[in-house]
Amino acid sequence: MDVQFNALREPILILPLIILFIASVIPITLKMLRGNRELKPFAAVIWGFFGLLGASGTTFAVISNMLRESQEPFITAFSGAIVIDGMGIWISYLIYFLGAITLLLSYDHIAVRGKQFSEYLFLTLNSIIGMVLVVMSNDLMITFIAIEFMSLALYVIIALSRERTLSKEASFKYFVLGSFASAIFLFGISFVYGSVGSTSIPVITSNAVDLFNSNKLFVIGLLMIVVGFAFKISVFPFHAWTPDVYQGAATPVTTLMSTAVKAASFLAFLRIFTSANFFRLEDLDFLNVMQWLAILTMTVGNVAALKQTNLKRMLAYSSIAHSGYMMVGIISAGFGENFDSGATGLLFYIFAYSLMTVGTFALVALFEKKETTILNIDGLKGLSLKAPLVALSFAILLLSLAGIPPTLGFFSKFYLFSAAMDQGFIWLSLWGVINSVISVYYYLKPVVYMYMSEDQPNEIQTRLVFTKATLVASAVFIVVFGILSASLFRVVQKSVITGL
Amino acid sequence: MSHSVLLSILLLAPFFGFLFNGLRFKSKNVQVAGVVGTAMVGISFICSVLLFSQLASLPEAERSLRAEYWNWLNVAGLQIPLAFVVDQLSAVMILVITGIGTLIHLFSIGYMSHDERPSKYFSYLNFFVFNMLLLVLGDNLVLMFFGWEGVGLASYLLIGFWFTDKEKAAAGMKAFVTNRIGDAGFLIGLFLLFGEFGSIVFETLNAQAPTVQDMSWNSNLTLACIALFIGACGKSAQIPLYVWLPDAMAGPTPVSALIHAATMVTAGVYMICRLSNIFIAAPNALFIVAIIGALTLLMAASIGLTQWDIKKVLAYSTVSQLGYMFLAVGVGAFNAAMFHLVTHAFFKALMFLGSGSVIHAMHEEQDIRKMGGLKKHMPVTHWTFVAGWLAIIGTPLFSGFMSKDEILWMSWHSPLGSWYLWLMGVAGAGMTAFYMTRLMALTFWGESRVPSDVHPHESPTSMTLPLIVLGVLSVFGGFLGIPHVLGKILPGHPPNFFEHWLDPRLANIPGLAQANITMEWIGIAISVTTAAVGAILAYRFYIIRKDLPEKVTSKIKGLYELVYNKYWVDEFYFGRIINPIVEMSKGLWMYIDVNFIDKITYWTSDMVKGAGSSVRSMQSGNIQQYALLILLGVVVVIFAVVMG
Amino acid sequence: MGLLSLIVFLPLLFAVIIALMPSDKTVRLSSLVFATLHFVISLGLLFKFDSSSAAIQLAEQIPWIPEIGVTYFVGIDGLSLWLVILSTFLTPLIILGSWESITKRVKFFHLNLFLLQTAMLGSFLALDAILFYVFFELSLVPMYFIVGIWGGARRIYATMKFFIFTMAGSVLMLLGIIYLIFQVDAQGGALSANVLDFYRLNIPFIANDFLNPQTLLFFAFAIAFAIKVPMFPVHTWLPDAHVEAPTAGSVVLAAVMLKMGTYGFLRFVIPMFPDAAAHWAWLFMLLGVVGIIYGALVAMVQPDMKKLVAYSSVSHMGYVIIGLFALNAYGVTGGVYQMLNHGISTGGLFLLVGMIYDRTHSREIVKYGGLAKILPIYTILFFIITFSSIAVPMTNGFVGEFLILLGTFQANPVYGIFAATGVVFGAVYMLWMCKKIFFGTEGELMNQTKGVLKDLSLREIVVMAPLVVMVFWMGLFPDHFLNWSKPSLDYLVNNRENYELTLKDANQNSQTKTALIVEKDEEEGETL
Repeated sequence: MDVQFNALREPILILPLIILFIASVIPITLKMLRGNRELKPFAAVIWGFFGLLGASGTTFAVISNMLRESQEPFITAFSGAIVIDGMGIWISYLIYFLGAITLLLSYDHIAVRGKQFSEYLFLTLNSIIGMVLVVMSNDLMITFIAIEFMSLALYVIIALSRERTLSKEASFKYFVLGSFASAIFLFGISFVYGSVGSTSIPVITSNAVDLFNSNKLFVIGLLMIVVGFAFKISVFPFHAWTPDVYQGAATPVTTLMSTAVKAASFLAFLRIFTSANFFRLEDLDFLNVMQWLAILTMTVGNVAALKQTNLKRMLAYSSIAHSGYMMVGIISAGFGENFDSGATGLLFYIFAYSLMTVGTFALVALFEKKETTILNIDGLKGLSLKAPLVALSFAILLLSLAGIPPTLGFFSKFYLFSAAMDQGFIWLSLWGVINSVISVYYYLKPVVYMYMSEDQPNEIQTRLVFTKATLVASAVFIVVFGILSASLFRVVQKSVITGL
Repeated sequence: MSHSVLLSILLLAPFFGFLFNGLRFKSKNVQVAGVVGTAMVGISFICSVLLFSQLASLPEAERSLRAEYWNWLNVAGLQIPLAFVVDQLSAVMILVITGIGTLIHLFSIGYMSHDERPSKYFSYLNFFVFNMLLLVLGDNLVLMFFGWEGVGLASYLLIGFWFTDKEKAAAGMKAFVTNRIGDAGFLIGLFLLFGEFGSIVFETLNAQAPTVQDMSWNSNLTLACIALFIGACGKSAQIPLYVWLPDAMAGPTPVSALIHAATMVTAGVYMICRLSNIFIAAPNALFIVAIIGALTLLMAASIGLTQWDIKKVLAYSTVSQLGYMFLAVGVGAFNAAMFHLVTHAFFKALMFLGSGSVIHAMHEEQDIRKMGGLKKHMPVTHWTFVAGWLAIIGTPLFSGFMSKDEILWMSWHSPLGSWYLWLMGVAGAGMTAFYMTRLMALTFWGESRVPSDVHPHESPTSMTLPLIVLGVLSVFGGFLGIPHVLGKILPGHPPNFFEHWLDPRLANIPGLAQANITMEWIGIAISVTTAAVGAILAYRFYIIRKDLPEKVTSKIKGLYELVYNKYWVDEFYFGRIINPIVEMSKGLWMYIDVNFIDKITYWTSDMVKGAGSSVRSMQSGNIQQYALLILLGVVVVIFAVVMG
Repeated sequence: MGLLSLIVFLPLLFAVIIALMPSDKTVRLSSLVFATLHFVISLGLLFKFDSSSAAIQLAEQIPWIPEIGVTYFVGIDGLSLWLVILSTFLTPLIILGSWESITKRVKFFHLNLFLLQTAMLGSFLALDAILFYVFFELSLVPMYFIVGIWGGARRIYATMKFFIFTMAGSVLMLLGIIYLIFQVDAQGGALSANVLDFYRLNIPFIANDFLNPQTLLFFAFAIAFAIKVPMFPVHTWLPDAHVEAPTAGSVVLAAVMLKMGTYGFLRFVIPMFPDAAAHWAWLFMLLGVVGIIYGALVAMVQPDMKKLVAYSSVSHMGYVIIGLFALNAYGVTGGVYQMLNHGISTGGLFLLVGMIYDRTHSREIVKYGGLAKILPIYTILFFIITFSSIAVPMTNGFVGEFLILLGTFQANPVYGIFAATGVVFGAVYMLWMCKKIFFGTEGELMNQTKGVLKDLSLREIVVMAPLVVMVFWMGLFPDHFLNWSKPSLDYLVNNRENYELTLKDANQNSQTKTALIVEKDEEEGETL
């Protein structure tokens, strides 16, 4: 079947998004029809699940098939505005999966399962639509719109918790700074458009090498775009919002932000590097700036995390540090000779990091009995005696975040630094591993409290079955996929190289 | 029986005794422990005699019985077999060790009859004999080192036998550690020799020893010999490592007799004789040996003049006599050294056992100022002691005379000797006569100063029997090796059996001139006179004019104090060497580990944490500031790329 | 599954089984049975191992991460054989030794012990660099828990220090390994983390320039192992970890974990970077000698028994280092032997210190005194192990020290002379401690515990007896042990410059060509 000339081809390619959108409006419509009476949270979550399942099912059954049959590494649609390729498909699977996990956590969570759960669901799914669109976009304008779409929904759901003033503040901060960053991003797009005459990423990349050396406007525009991404993925010095927002948002929302949003943004960032020639520039300054951003990000994230007493804030800084590591992937994909290895390393890292983070935030959620609960690290003391499975799972996750073998965290770092070393970024890798030593200190601190103290821990809510299951399952996966990481790696590598 | 079986029995009998008594260490039965312990050494003695006779029956050139058990180590060309050799040299030693050993074990049964842990005692004593045999029988330096360290260990255990006394435990440790310093030297010498000759087997080494004398100071050969001599200094209590031996008297007295007089302390002499071909090739090293030997004999003898503890006097006397042996070795007279080793073993073991008998009788009193007139209470002890006394001061025809005189003559006559070495030896002989006579006078003669609650009595037969046997040996043992000049005038012109026996095993002194008989006689006359003067003086001081010692010492108070306090050597070692090292170590620990290395790590972690704080202070929560940061970031990034 | 994999992963299985057990008592008992069983199985190596060959034996290779050339590759040769048996030998003793001293979280304790066992055995047997690294790092985790949960008052400080120190060193090694993986590719192979492929690499070396690949790689690996050993001046984590660790932790740490460092030198640093190793041998010998003397001096002034033994470890491991870097047969053989000796003697000392600590709850030397009279059996055992530790002939310690010094003298007599002074200092600190504890009048603690203090129980004697047997067996018949390692060691010393190991096919008894790089699926079927 030749899909190229099928009239339905383009709508089919965005069918997952359509399905997701339909699923997102059903609960809220039902609520309206029932006289503004809230659905049972369970029912709402089921609708959300339908949407996510439908979206990923369509992707699996239809879109990836189309990609495979096209014999190309990617296919484009809407006059080249969106692109479907292996990386995009895998990241969108990840986003759907993380969305599902978020819904599970939300179902359990006190802060969001209140009266506005339908609205919450609607916004969450729409934010996911934005993310998937970010992943698919092949044109800077689409990227911009998708990011805004994703972010707008997030601004609202961060603020959705009614009892916590902290969440309002977080939402406001995220909104103001996000708008600022978007402005810079848009500014950058206009500069680039001014110098290239197009917003299409392939067009830009194919002209990049010439323009970079001749046109300062183009360079400035490009850097502004980089800054726009850097804001979303919390790269120093554009990271400052992260701890406040992560702490302020309800934990399920934080989970979504620190995993899915990041995954989507990173992939879009990577897209700019897709063309293998793009950044193979003579310009060392650009490389240096990128490297320093990476090094500073991981260092700042790690050293700041050392001092944190609030677990959620600590995890926020840890998330910043991991952005720094992922920047290593961006750099080795973009500046090295071998795009594939860098991209594979990055994608693998995104998978691993998301899995670990989901688990850690699930643990935080387990402790949140009231909306105002603040979990400090010493609140974990004696946990291993009271809830051994929870403690063990969390310990595994932390060790994985610290990069101790044979967990997934170690192997993801191994692939990432292998890619960097392969391209000759020894110095960058060195900073990376030094940072992982620093990080050991704060990742082990909760373990100390959990295992080496015999005081009574803060109370945990064992009835939160889904949350607990998420925590335990992620720990199991961390170990199993750590040891069997090759299979996952192979899939990711294949998707980067051949499309699927 | 074949020699290898005999050798096995020889070695295993004391080892079995060690295990037997060691495993029943809680038993208080002195009879069982003592009889088994003594019997085991007795069996060894019988084996030694049999081996000796086997050896003697062989033609002179083939007098070497070797038995190999297993390959101890085999690494890259270095083969160390567990092999033992009985030859002329080791045969003498095993006879002395097991012979005197048996007597001393026998003596111990009586001596230790009131002790709480006799099994342990005999176990250790057997262990010592086993190791001493290992030392003398080993066919290579490593096996010798086995015994070398093993006897040190046994000595450590036995000195500290009454460990509940802190002083005694400390003495044991001092002995072991001082010995270890020597052992390090031994090992260094061993490694240097191996580097030089590629072998550690005595026979190979002696065969490969250069025939031309190596006159340089820093050649491997000379350094190896000096290093080995440091080892000998440790074991045989020579300057500067002699300090442990006087303290070692803390152990039971039979131990002092066996280990710290007759056998172990002579190991250094034996070792050098074993390697005589090597040493003779390094005359510079031998010179050091001779000079250290001479200095030690003088120094120790002078300290002996002033001591009040009966065992301390004997201890310093031992150090001094060992000095004689090293003097002999140093001038190349290996024969004479070995001979003195044997006679000294007789008379010094005798006197230590005698002193043990005295101490036993005096209820553990060792201060000779509280003795006197013991002659009538303990006649056997006294008369045997007299035999020893006559021997050590060099009364003509007594054993000590024969051997010592040979040494003095050689220190003069040998091309490696010189007049000052001889003079030092003679001076030492005078002092020896003085302090030994003083000891006799204060202990056995004169009027009794024994406290009234002590009733000295003669010791039981198990203790006096060994004394008598040793007494006989002290008197007549010298006839084994009659000096040549003497042999000529004695009826029947007996030859020097001892020298004749050992000669094939020992190196000859190159360039040794024909003996000048007149000179030799003159030498004998001078030394005998000196000794006589010393003895008479002492008799006068301590029997006839008892006020004299007081007077003389007050006149030379400074010198007397110096000597009485053993030249402050112990204080020097502790104050200037050991304590500074301990203090330094504390300093190392505090300043390097705690305050430097750890500080660096703390500092690093503090710095990282400090960076964390400053990052946190950036995190004001203030939205304008965040925006400013973003703006700054944009400017810097653009500036760096576009302008840079 | 081959014998080696069985040996590596059996403890893991044990851990899973005991995790499902209900009571502490069954956990203890079954752990002991399991560990003993494991030891017996590991003895099977002696039957399957061909002691006349220097090749890698009983190898098993399965692709693991073929995309980066990482395989699951285990094999054994003379370098690792005894270290494996040493660890399996000690574990039952450790379990029996901790019988009464570990009272809380018994199950988790044994679980950690078995996990640790897997990690240690894995690092000794791994012949793939990444596999090695995985086990090497994994070993930190159970030890972290053992010290942190069952340790003394400052256990958290100590365990953190231990973890971060050792990890800080090893991350550089990880980069080194990654670099080498790509070097194999660059030099005509495919990507491979196979150690045997690493051996064949030709890594440029420039003697006078520090910044050349071989020197940098050498230091990347050497620092990791130096911290683990630990060598002066990166040893300060060790006394803290030892003092705070429970007896079992100290024993495993000293007896086996430190050997992972020296083994690393032997397996990786010396054969992989021969030029740099020879060029920088002076530095490592110097640090080794400094370690010997420094460790001994500092041990001498320690008020705490365990700290004293810990510093003595620094001193003893200094010997191993100079032996290995003497780069001749005597030194290397001695170094390898000393690794085993140290396992026996220091392991024994920690067990003994633990036994007395269980009785009096104090390790302060000055509080003791006159123990010899009260606890005669304990005293005898303590002295035997002490003699082994200070290398008295006829004990195992002497063999190692003798060979090491012999080798050092051949390499550099000056270092040899300084190292020989360690012989003296070693005697000083050990005997000083013995004197204070066992001799003299009864100390403060003895008076407090009068009548209560009991001599060793049968259980404790059973724990110590095998160690005592080993002390003399290894001292009197070193060839019984060295003969197994000799071909490997001789080969290493003689072919250091172009070291290459082959695989020995156990079935056909023939030497096959090494390590083909498993690249594609079609090759997966081939077993090596």
